[in-house]
Amino acid sequence: MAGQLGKIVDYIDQLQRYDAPGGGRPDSAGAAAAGASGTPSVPAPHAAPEADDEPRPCLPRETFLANAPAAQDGFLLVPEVRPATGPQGGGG
Amino acid sequence: MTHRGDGDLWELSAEELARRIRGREVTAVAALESVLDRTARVEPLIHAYLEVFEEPARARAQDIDRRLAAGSGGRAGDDPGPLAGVPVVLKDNLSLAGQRLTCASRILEGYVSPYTATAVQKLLDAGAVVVGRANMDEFAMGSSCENSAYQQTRNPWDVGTVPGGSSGGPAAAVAAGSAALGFGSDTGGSIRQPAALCGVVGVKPTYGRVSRYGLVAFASSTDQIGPIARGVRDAALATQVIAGHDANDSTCADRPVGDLLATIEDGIAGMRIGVVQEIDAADGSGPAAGAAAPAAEAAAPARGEMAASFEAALDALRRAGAELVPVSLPSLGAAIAVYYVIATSEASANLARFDGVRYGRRSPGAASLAEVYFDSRTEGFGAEVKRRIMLGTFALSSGYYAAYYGRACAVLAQMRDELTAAFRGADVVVTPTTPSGAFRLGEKLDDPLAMYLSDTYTTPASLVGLPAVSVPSGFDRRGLPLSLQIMGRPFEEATVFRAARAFERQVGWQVAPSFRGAEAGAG
Repeated sequence: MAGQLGKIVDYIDQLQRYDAPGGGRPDSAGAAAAGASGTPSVPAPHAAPEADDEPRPCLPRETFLANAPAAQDGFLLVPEVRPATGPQGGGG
Repeated sequence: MTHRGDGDLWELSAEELARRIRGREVTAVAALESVLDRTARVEPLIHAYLEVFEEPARARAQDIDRRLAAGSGGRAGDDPGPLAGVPVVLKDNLSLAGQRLTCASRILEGYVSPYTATAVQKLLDAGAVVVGRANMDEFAMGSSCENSAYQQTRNPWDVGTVPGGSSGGPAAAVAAGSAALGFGSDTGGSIRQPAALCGVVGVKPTYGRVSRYGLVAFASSTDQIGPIARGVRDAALATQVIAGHDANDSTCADRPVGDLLATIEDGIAGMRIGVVQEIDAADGSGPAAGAAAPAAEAAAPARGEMAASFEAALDALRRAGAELVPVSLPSLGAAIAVYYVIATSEASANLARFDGVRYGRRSPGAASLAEVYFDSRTEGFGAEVKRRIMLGTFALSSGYYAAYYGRACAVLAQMRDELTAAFRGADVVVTPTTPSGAFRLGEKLDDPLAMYLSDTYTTPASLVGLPAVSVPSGFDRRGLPLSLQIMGRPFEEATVFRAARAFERQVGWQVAPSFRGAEAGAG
């Protein structure tokens, strides 16, 4: 897999050779506006209208926990976060 | 075998089938049984379905028939809707409450959808009958269905070739007649490419046209749900049904859908069709190809065939009265590089939710929380998914962010500007859908980059959020389908369907796969 990844990264490196004015513009990623000049624009994810901050009904907790690998008393159950030995743990 | 004529019900278009069922000429149960019989015959050859919902589908069809019967004898009719009794198949990443969903991944073994996707609910509200869930590349990552953890779907035209991907299951099922319509997701070409390889019509709607609520996320800035159909009219009807605003998806646009069938037969006389000039240089052989050159050389004969087919498609558009205008998309050669940076970056974030804690598979041997995370992902994800998560985390890492993710966004901005300019002089823009017809099983399995390049022409519409339809255009030398891609301005699906329908009429395409290579013929 290392060889395949190297080949893919080599290919992607062609981006460095493209003369793209504007440099890195992370906020322009993805399905942003299709442009000006009368062309209808596509709503970008970051341009989505803010939703009202009000609680809405959601599915019952039991419905979601039915898919959990392990649950107990309405909570997700996982093995101990800290390893059994060592003063500070650090296993998680 | 042919899909035309007055033969079996499974051969009918969705539109015609719904018309007959609503007119009570045939029952939804009869339509379903015809499709189930067909499925039983072709599944051993193509393996498109991961699961057939046989009994739930029968109950649903009976309910449709009861509702129609309740409207007889002068009583007010209870019309189930425009897809009344139409058997449909879902890609295994679309949620249907109470049914299993795996994304063709081991990590979602045993998962049952707790709710129904908005697009699927719209199908049910329109009277559709869900026949089952279909195979795909794991988490929609792939172009051949070979990345499924469960089975290898085969192309109905030649069972020794791939059906394309990632929506290869729905595409193969629709082409083979084991569903009237299929529904998949398209992130970089995952509906259009398998539709092209299976000789059927595939639609990626405008970003924001269809709600993704209930679709398992891959790359959220380009994921779209769309239909696969045996004809353009059915594809438009299906798009019409699933489109529209949904408060549960904040990226879903609050814009009217309109009637996508109203102008579909109006033809393209005088329509300005933009022809992308950089086709030949774009699939790895261009000046910026770098490491892709060997793959491109190997694909050269196929490219020649595609170029000839594309020229013939342009002639057909000209005969239909369109005005062809050259448009320039210099960044086309970088589309795959841009796409694989942005899509893998988003995937690395989206797939972090599969942790063996909340749902899906947990490694049975994990003794600590760290082992739950590590071992569940190690055992649950396949090679391609791991590859893309690693690429995405690499592209987003602090030392490389500007060089990869930032750079990809800059080239994407350039691509958007180029397409915006193209659409100033053209109503739609065309390219081939794929660089070649279906490839052999295993042919590109050990060369992920060669596999990625089969999405060269489909990624720009995904990255920029444009609607695009793939329509069969002819055959390669092996007799396998090739297709034309028609892209439109945002939310102008009606124009794209009008062009696609005019092209379909010119070509006179028949979905008639021969199941070549199968020991016992199915048709």
